Amino acid sequence: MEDIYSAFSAVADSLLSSRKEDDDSKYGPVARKEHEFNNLLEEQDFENYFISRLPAGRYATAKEIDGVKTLLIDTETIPKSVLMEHSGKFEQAFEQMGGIAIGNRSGIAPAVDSVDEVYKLNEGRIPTQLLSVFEDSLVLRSVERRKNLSRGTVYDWRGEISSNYSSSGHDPQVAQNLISLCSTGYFDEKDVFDQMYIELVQDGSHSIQEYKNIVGDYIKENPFAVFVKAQGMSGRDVYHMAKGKTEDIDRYPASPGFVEICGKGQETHPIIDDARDLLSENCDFDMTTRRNRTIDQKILRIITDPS
Amino acid sequence: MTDLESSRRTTMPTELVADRDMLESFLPVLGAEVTDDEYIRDLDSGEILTTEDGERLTIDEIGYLKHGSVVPVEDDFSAIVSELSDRNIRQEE
Repeated sequence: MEDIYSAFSAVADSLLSSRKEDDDSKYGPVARKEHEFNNLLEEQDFENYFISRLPAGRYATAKEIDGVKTLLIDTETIPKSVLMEHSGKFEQAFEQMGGIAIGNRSGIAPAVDSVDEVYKLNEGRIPTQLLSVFEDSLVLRSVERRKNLSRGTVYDWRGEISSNYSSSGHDPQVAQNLISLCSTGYFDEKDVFDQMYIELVQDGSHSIQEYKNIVGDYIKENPFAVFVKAQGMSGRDVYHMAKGKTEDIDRYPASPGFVEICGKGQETHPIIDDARDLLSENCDFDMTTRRNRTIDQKILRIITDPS
Repeated sequence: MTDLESSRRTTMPTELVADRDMLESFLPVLGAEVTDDEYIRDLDSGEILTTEDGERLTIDEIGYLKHGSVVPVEDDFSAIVSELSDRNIRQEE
């Protein structure tokens, strides 16, 4: 039932966010005639081209979307003869970009090459069967950071990644865990899994295969992070989940020595605050809070091993 | 990257995006068209364009059109990443 509720909420968020995305964009010059369209195409440099319906009579409009200078072109309105005169420009863009994103798939292609650094750091450290999910997760995180994706879109794309993983007989929840762990940055350089690699393999006596197995367990069991959902989770739920993890985390090899409660989006923050209040009342842990304001993320760290 | 390449990159388009319902009017500039049964056909050869695996997709099933004539890619996050990535990890699974 919670899943159904989450799905409906995500769809509603998606619709609201689409309107918000439109409202947040800045309009520039508008072309309503052939010579104005020619001028826009020839005289201005655009980073993105977006083929889309525009208000009646507009051939094209310059607009800033997610901080990127974009030319929106209405190929339904522009006479075919005018459009074909500029086919070379579009063919050139098609070739340079390597393709065309359809509809809301915008942002994926530019992100694919942008994740090399973190991918290469972990390529030999993650169980092979999870590498495709890991690559997808990094690309998704990159798109999320560059674009104002709605929660509905993120929900759908996460579902596609985990569904692909489960189609080869694996547990989709493991893919969901990996997406969340990547999204929070735990696989980045000097973060949890890099530190774990240094302790166990580089400075320790574990083989790389042993390390991969340990990482596989961390991804499967997700022992140190609680990822808060805005719907269907109360502060008390999060408190119980976090408290349960604090009782187990230090039994794991190279435990990070903490449990973190992670929330993305303002709606999750009061839930984290409620959980923090309950932890303060009922437990004796040191706790710290950090925020990443660019993605509205709040993370409460519960320190289980002060050493 | 040289300064020239760097400055060129900042002025070159980074993405081409099309709404699904605009494909019919847009694809002719790339030498393709949407057929009555909503597949994509090459205007020169008259052949229906397929995925790398030879599968026909309607425009509702396409999430990306890859360059190299016009190659449809399934409307699925992992399928698009897999098609665009040169890391070749999915074939090894």
